[in-house]
Amino acid sequence: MINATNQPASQPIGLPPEQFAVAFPFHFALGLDLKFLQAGSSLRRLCPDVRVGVSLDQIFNPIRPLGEISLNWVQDNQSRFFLLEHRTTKLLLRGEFMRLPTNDTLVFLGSPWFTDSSEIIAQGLNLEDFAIHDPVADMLQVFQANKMALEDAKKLAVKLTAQRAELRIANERLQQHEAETRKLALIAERTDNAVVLTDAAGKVVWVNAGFTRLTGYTLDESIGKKPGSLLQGPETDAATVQYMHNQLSMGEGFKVQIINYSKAGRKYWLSSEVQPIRNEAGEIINFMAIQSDITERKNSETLLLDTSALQRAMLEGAGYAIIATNTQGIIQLFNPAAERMLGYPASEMVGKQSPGVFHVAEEIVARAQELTAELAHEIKPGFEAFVAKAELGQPDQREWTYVRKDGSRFPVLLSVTTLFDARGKITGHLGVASDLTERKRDEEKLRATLSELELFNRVMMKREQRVLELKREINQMLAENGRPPAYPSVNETKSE
Amino acid sequence: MYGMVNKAFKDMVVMHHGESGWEQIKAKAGVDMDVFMSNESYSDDITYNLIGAASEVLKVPAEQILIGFGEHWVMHTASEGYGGLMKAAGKALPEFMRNLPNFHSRVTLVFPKLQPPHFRCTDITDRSLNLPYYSHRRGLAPFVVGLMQGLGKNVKTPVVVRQVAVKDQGGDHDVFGVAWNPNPA
Repeated sequence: MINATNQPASQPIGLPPEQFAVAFPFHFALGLDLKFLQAGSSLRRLCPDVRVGVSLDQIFNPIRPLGEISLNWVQDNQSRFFLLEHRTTKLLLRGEFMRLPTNDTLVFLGSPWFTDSSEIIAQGLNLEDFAIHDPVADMLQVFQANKMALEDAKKLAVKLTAQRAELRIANERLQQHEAETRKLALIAERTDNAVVLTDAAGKVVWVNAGFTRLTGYTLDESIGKKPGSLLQGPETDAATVQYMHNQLSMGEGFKVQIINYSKAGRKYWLSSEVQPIRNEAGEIINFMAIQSDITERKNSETLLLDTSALQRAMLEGAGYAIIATNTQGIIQLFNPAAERMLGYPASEMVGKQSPGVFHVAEEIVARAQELTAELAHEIKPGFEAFVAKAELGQPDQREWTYVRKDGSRFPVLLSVTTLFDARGKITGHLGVASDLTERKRDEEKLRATLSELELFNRVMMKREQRVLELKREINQMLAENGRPPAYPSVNETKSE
Repeated sequence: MYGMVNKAFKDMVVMHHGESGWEQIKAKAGVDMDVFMSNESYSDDITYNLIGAASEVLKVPAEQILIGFGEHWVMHTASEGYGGLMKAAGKALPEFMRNLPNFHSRVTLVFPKLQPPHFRCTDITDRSLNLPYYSHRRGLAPFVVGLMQGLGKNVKTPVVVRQVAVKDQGGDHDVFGVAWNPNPA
């Protein structure tokens, strides 16, 4: 039967000294004079200065309870917790004092206090120096476990702090990204262009209002369908459709112009730029098409093509040399007649030369001087001499001498017009030149004929005069012979 | 098992195969935890899955991984976390082995959810001992081999470990024979 607390056993029990030493390896016993009587083996190893006959206060400092080491200090604090500090090693012993009733002996039961297992080794002990029942070894494990938990917590705290910083940065980036996305979404929504977003298979997942305006199909009507199935019709070019299909299946972007039909059947020209959208792994997740109605542009392009054809025919068919330059005087256009007249192919002139190459330098110098006098500011002998007058807004027509590629010369009548854009800015110059060689030759011929005629006339007049003189001589000879004149008219005109 | 086991396994993988190796193994094992708390108890499945995944990813038999893990446990995890206590448990292998069962028994005070293996040391001589090993867990015999090899390396006494009785073959426990050279060069 177990006795109630604090009641001694009915049969006194005691430990034989050897077992007592094993059970309390850190114990010591004092006489009433507080001198050591005996000590446990582990304590003796820990504190070799604990020897029989040495006083307690020589070896230990009292930490708890407060006070000086004395018999009273021990006795007054019975059943209290004692903490002693070994003077030389600063090691702490924790335990309690008991006074044995049978003799005048004080026994200290306890063990050293460690907070880190490394101290055991440092004190030259090992776990076998502790009694099995001593919880100090267990406490050390608790401390160690706590230390590890604390380290885990610290590592976690560092990690969390770093993660929070990363999150903050990511969040800021996300916010910027979202603002950008909102802006882009707004642009996509509001733009006049039609915007179509499809999935990777090419089926519509979103269209904007521009798409609905252009095609007549709403978002609900378009979702899940392929845009081609909604929009293509009889005049849609099959080759373009095939090209688009090929590009899409290769995951490549493309740009096409194609005829589409609105829901109401209106035919229109569509310009469509399609780009794949990839995720971070590089896989295509969407295609985006930006489209615009280019019907009007297509129509005016057709018109423009017609106008160009007319212009081309005129330039090529003209009998005049037509030469256009930019504002710097570099030839931009050199028509076939100019090629024929001057012997230069257009390829040698356009973008490379100025009209100066087929002019006579002296004429340019002279013209520049003339213009300088006329316009009252200096006109340099160069390209300016051709255009200075025309730039004032009136065509300038005058004769020049052109020099062919082979060096031969011929006269031309050159008319220079300055080209202005809609705002009145000079964009270039146009020269139209006609070959005067034929005309000059004709004039020459006419002049020769006239002089020949004059000569003939003169000869004829002389001959007539001689005839008259002969007639008068005959008349005079007849008169001397008393005969009537044979040519009476001659005498009347004698005075002439 | 306590988090320190999984944490130690992670440390071993990261030490040899880097963070990317660990992430691969974790993904393969379907384990989605960044941090294991040492003193927290986790399901045994996590540990088994991690070991299985490591075997697949690293193309090393699970037994080899467990032996390596046993050595790593002693030489890094225990030495770094419980170095003081391990040293206090004895400098020489026989002395250490004598203390080891007590050490494991005391650990249950600190980690109440721990179900540590239970073992004894028998037939202790100056060059060998037997280790009857009782565990409710399956398949961890190679881990014990690794642990013993690690302990030998730790005290600079290489050991040879062989399993002399196998739990699955009728007995209720495994027995490992551990032998070492009493006078290492």
